[in-house]
Amino acid sequence: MTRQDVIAIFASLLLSGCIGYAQAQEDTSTDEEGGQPQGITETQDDESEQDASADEAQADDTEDSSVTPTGPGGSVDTGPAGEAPSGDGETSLPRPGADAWMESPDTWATFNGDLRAQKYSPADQITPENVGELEQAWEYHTGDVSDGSDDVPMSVWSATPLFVNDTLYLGTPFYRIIALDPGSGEEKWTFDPEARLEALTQPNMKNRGVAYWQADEPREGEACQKMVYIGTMDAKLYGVDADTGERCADFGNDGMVDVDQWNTVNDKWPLSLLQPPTVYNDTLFLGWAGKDWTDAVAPPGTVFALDARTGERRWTFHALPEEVVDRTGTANVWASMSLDPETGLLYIPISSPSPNYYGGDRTEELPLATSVTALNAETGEVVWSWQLVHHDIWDYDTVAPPTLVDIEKDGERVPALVQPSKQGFLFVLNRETGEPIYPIEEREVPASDVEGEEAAPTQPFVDVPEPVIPDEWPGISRLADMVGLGECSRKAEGLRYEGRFTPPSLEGTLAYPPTTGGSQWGGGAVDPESGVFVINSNSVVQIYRLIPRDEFEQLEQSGETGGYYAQGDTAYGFQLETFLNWAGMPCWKPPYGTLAAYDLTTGERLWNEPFGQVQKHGFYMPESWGSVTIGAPVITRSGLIFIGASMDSRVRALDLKSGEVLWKHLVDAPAVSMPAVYTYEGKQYVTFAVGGNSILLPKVSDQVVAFALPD
Amino acid sequence: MTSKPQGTAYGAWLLLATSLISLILAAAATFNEGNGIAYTPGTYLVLASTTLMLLGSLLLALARGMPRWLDGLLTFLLLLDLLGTAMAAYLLQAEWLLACMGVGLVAWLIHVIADPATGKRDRHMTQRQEAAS
Repeated sequence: MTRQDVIAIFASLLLSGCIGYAQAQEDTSTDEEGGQPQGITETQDDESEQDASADEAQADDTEDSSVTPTGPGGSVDTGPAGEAPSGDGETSLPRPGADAWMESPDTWATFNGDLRAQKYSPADQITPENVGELEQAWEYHTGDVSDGSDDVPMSVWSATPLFVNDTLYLGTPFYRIIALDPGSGEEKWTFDPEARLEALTQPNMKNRGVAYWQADEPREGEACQKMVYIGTMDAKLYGVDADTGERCADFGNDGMVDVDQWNTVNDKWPLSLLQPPTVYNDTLFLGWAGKDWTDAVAPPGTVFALDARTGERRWTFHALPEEVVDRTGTANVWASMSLDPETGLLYIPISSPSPNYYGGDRTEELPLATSVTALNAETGEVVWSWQLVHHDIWDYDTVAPPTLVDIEKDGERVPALVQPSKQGFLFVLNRETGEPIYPIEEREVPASDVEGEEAAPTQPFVDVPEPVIPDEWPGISRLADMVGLGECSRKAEGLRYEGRFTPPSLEGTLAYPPTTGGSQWGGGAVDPESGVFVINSNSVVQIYRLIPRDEFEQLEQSGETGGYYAQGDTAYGFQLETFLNWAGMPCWKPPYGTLAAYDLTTGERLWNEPFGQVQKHGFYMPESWGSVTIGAPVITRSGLIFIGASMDSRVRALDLKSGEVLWKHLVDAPAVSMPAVYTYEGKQYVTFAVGGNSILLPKVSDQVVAFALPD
Repeated sequence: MTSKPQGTAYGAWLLLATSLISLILAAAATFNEGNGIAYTPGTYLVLASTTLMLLGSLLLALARGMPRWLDGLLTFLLLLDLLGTAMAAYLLQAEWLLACMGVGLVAWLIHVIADPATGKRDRHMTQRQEAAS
């Protein structure tokens, strides 16, 4: 028995609930991270009544709309500010080139650092050699934090700070915008929309930040030539002046667009605007988050394009055919998007349709669901689409924006994208045509043994690049099995498992990867010069069990609703259970989270290391166990990776070449966001929003912390 | 009538000093916000264990007339306390507390090997045996 085994046994006995707690929390998450919200207390009727007057105040543009079919099953609804697509399959691409303000090497002007979602900074002041000297430059607390102990639900804050216009902009989980001095952290202004702080769709108050836009040639002294936007859980999008924080009167109704005015089909809950819009060519591209697992029929997935100045709708993209929306819904875009400014193609990661774990009522092909789809940013027309899961019954939402990068293949420069996925595959496609650069193979997968379900006979598999998690589940942890007196082994024997894509079953299916992924919403980062792609991932095992409707009702009546989800009135309810022993220890072998680097020119995985540390009750588990992570890495030209994301409330810098941790720093909670790397007045800063996420730990914060080299 | 053991219990006194320092360190770990472990069950655990350690080492150092079986039991419990707190400190990444436990283990060894025995039980038994004969 090694020293580490001894430590592990002792630690596990003391801290048996560590991963268990985290996974139990996942059970209450939402389609944001692959879980189900709870505590929705307000009905849509109430919501509708309250918003009725506001809706009336907004111009109803449906009279000017025209609907044009596009792509396989999708359609585009053109608003008054938009140009109707031709509908003949021929796409006219918008003018090339990114807006100049977002191309500065010193800024971090968008959620992913740039439109291509590369999460790459050309800054090179901080290097692998001097990163050990990195120290805290300043710290700021927003005050917008809740541990859920009072009337306000717990806060989950995953905002990327934006640095542009010589200002650092933040959106908070209470939907305020805060403008800071990027060098000192001093507050410049704040904007408070006085949003409803209620768990309308998500169980927690969530926010992933703000978006910024400015006119090509801002007129001096004129308000709202530069704007900052923030969305709310109740589907309001606010636009304020970037210099003063005052509402922009011309944007929507006195600075607010009620996006829920376009929530007209199955409007069971508001279209929560938690992910900031993507900004390009004076247009805001807007997806939304909802809630899965409760309903079978839900708002069908849409993406809106709005005029950045006025909020007028240019077009609405619909991911689902009209004829199925009385039986399904979602297939929405809740993660961030990427955009190729040279071609004007907008890449959207489309999630799975509802109900998530039983597809017997939606057996027809829904080609745009669980796909990566390229739209013409000008018209909303589908240019190409690649479905990543057929007939998704695992809640494998396409979860992150594809990263756009040119790679060298056979001596040629190929315009590529890398699409991470919950199922652990990295799909590398030609971003102009959608054709695979590395092979995607349709392989036979197990059939469903549940009456009424028709699982797809094949699913797409990728061998190169190597998936971020193994093909087979990690197997029983001897330690957990020992502590559980064989409980893990006994439980596993009764479960169905035939590899990836084993369908949910009545006896229980061992799901690896489950709805947690694999990869999560942060996606990966790439060094466009070397073609090295870095991504964090999770290794989690869960049990999917379908429950016949009559039995499910009985369970509900007996109060056993924890981990049980109705899926509307379909033939089966659903139980989600993380594979734990009685003590809450994971029944599968670690590591639980890794960080990996890939050479995109060859598809080879360069390194794959356990990342972070599990922390529970204050105790840190062995580093070799890694940590479940939520967040994303950022790469700098000097060969560094900056990332928070782990349970242990630390932010780290790693060597891009080796994956070695070169620097780490304790922060107030898990930094479940991606950092912003920028240069201000000649000094490079790495700034994290530290908010925490109950999925990892019941630890929240409102900390913004910037690091820099000493003067 | 009993007599106290002769000589200074250096091990017990060192353990007492170490326990006191450990308690201060545990309190700092528990209440010093921003250290990543404050106000967690783990730090409350080491706060409790170091408090018990201080009480135990106080008894060991000052109550020299206790029965040998009690001295043995106390010594054994202190060893468990030292090992448990050391493991907890390791997992809390509380390096100074871990170092204190290392010193405490040395003190414990000194106590077991070199400190004068209390001998109370033996003497008492001997007196009874003598009286009986």
